[in-house]
Amino acid sequence: MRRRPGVSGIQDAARAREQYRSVGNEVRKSNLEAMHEQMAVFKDKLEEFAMNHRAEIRKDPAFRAQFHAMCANIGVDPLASNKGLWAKTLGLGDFYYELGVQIIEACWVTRAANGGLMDVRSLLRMVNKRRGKLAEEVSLDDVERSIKKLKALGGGFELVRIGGSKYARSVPGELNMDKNQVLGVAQIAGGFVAASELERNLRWTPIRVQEVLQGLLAEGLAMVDDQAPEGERLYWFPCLSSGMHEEQ
Amino acid sequence: MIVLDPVQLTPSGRPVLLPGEVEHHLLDKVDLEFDPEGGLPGLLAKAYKTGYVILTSHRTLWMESSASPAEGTVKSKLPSFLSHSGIGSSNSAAAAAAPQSESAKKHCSMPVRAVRGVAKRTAFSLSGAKVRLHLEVCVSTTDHRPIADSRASGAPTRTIQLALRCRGDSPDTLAAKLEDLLRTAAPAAPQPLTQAPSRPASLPPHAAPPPASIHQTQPPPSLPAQPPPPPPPHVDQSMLMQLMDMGFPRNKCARALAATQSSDLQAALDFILSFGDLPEMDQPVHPPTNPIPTSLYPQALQPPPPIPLYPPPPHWSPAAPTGGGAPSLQQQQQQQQQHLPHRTYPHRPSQPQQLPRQEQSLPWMMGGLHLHHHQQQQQQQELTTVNPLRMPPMDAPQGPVPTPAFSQAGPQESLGAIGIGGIVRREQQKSSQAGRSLSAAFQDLSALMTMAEEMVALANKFRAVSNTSDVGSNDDVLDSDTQADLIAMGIASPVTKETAGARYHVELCRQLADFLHEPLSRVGGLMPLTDVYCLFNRARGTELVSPDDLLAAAQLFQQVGLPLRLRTFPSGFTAIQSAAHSDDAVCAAISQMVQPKRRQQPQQERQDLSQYPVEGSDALRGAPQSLANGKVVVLAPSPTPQSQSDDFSNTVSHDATTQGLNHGGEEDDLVAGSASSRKDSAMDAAARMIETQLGPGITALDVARALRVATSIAGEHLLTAEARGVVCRDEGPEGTRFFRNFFKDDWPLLVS
Repeated sequence: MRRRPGVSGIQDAARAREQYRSVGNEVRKSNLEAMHEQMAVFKDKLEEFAMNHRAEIRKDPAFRAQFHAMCANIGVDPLASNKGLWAKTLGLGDFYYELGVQIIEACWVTRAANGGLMDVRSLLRMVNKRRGKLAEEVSLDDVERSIKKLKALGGGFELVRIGGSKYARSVPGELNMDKNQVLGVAQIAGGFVAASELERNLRWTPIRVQEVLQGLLAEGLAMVDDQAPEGERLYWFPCLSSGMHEEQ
Repeated sequence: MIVLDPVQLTPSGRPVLLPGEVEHHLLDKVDLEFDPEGGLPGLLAKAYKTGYVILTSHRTLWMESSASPAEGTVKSKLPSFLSHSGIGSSNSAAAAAAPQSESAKKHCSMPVRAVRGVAKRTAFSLSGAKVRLHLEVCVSTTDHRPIADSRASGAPTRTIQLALRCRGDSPDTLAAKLEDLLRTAAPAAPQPLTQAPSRPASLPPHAAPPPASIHQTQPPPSLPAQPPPPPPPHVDQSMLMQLMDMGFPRNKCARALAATQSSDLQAALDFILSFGDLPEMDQPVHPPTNPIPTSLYPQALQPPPPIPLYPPPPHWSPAAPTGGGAPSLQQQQQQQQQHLPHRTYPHRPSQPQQLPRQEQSLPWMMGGLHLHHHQQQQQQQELTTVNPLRMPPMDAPQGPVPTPAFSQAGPQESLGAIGIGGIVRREQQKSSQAGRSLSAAFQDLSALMTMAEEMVALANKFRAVSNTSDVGSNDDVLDSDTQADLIAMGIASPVTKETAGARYHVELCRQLADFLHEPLSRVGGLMPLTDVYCLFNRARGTELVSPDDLLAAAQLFQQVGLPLRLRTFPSGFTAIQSAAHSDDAVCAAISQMVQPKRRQQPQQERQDLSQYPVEGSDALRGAPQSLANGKVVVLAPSPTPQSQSDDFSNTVSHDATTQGLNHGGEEDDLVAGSASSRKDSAMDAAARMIETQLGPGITALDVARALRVATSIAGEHLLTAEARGVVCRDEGPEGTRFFRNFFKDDWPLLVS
């Protein structure tokens, strides 16, 4: 651009910068859209390949590593296969193990939000979405069978029925840090806590709150008080009372 | 005589693989026999015994098998020659800790392509059959190292024999796979585009370049032959300075000038703008390599008419018209089709582009360079209308063409191909190229295999862009952080039954330990086996490991000598715990927590304490004073009279405040006789004194907070500590508390 002296030159320069910036934004946006289109195409093709050519992919280790890198970057799940006839009737084949991996992954991803208790319906939805469009839909029956196969791991993964609906519990009582949080809240609140208070402060679902409180009762850390003035059941924690000793 | 390269080990004892290296086969119980001697530099021997051979896509490794993992762990202090029976080891020494460890592990490696021949021979003797696999290795005569590509090295070579004495399974599969590798590797000898500076120095420089480095692009194997060797690049210094003045980094300018033979500043500038954002542009110029990534031009496509901006460099066949002339489209296409796309100067494809409607192109280019006309035949190019954004009055006649060039006929005045319009066009070209290579790659599996490199790079780019952009699709199941984690955890070469054979569980155990190192530290040292199963399988991709195999591998941790443990809780729940959660570590942490705290006693305390006469020897009398001085005395290290020891034995119960002062009748009277107002303070003071001597009482909650675990596990840890005698319990109305186990101490508590 030709520099011109004077105020008009400065104004021109400012205008030029503005225009450059807007052009740059446009270019970037159009690039991005094109890229998203291509990404969608990439994803579809990858899913198709993962489904149809699994055996060949597994045979060649070098290509397999590259294929996995591609899938991981795009977000395609290479484990989505279809049940064969034998898998359905006899439970053979890799299908249920793969489904197991997908189920645990779905629970793991949502663990922070639901504390390890995941509603089975949303689990099904998430697993089906992760498997992609080409794979067969999995049903509740498949999920149950797959979880049964995981019993050998003893990891505490199980389906529980709470209040009429089924949940998948992926965090066993031993590892449940929810109890620590409840005790923390109770200590601040003066040694006792009510269920509604927990729901409000920690923003947990009622099911989760009930599970934690039952667990604390079972461990012997909590005591039930049904005679509180408000009428709601209170849970007291004797271990929190400082007594004669200072808590550090 | 042959000198081999060492192999680095991971903390669990597995070999560190190069990027893109994949394991193919493992054969256990193999001795390496040299003729006459060989091995690692400094550890030459006639033979290396008791090891196993790993065949990978790049190298052949010989690893010494020993009971404990090698140098990565802190705990292995035993020299290896004492701890295991292996005398001759694999050819690679663990380079990681070699200087410090007294035991030099001989794990060695050799590039696969250095092997020229494979032969299996069996020698029968009275003691049984000896099966040997003979490898003919091409070695340089100067430094006795195996050479993969003898033509390239130029050094004089000779072939020597290396024998693998197989005491275990027959080496037939290994031989077959090795031959396969040699056969498939030989014809494709890809020339590395750039010298990868991060390549481990141990590999001979002529060994096969690691093919799967994500940021490198290679010419696809469909290239029929090497392009004619380009003339040595000439980098004109004055042009270099001019380009650098414009603000481009030095390496880019050098490469551009090298590519265009420093013919014209314009050409170099155009080159920079076209290819400037490729990663290898930032690397310094290496004369013999081909700096142009020709893979950007899918060979399957018609070479479209070029956009020659200016007189093409001398070695370009002069079919491209220079500015001004206007041959018909047909003619131009014919001319272009004659070109092979192998040339050092980028054959700029002007492919049909999808310009967005609103595109504005600016014809000007900073720097005051001279613009040329150029020809452009675009089938669908939409040249924009007169550009209102054009900078004020440039009256050079390079205005944009007012009409969209949908017609094929006729020449079109083109926009300046340098300049913002040029940049914009280049961006579109790139994305359309990507689209085209996508569709080409996914035609069938073999096409995908050949173009796998590019696809991986493309996928990488997509992910990077979609992470940073706000125009993201929100229906992704995994959020970007989880996805990034999963990618980072990927295991390129998972251990399977095919690749590991007899050592499957041991190698799986080691790979699991390597893999779990980071996730375990993130969750605090304890991870349920279910989660381990999920993460490990995700990292392995399609090579699933069954739950039983995982369990078997996890049970081998102790045997292999790794710091992880499989732990089963009373409820049946199994988890893998890191060393930080081992019983020793936990007990140490708990005993730390129950130690009496050092605290400054306030003045008031001092007075209270002095109320209580101390009976016993003078030394004991001194004890409260030392307390009052603020130093906590756990025990009075002086002999206590027998009578007092009896009294002391029932001084310990924390909730019995008055009982705590029950030394005998005297104290009772003292306590009972004190005024009621002083009773509480006395109890408090006594309790405080107990605490200073005894230490705090902790509950499961305290341990849970300190170790950051759940309360149930904290309770378990306390029970373990109690079983070991570190703490003793005290059950009261508030629950169970645990105190320091003072019963073990030599001197009982002093409570006066």
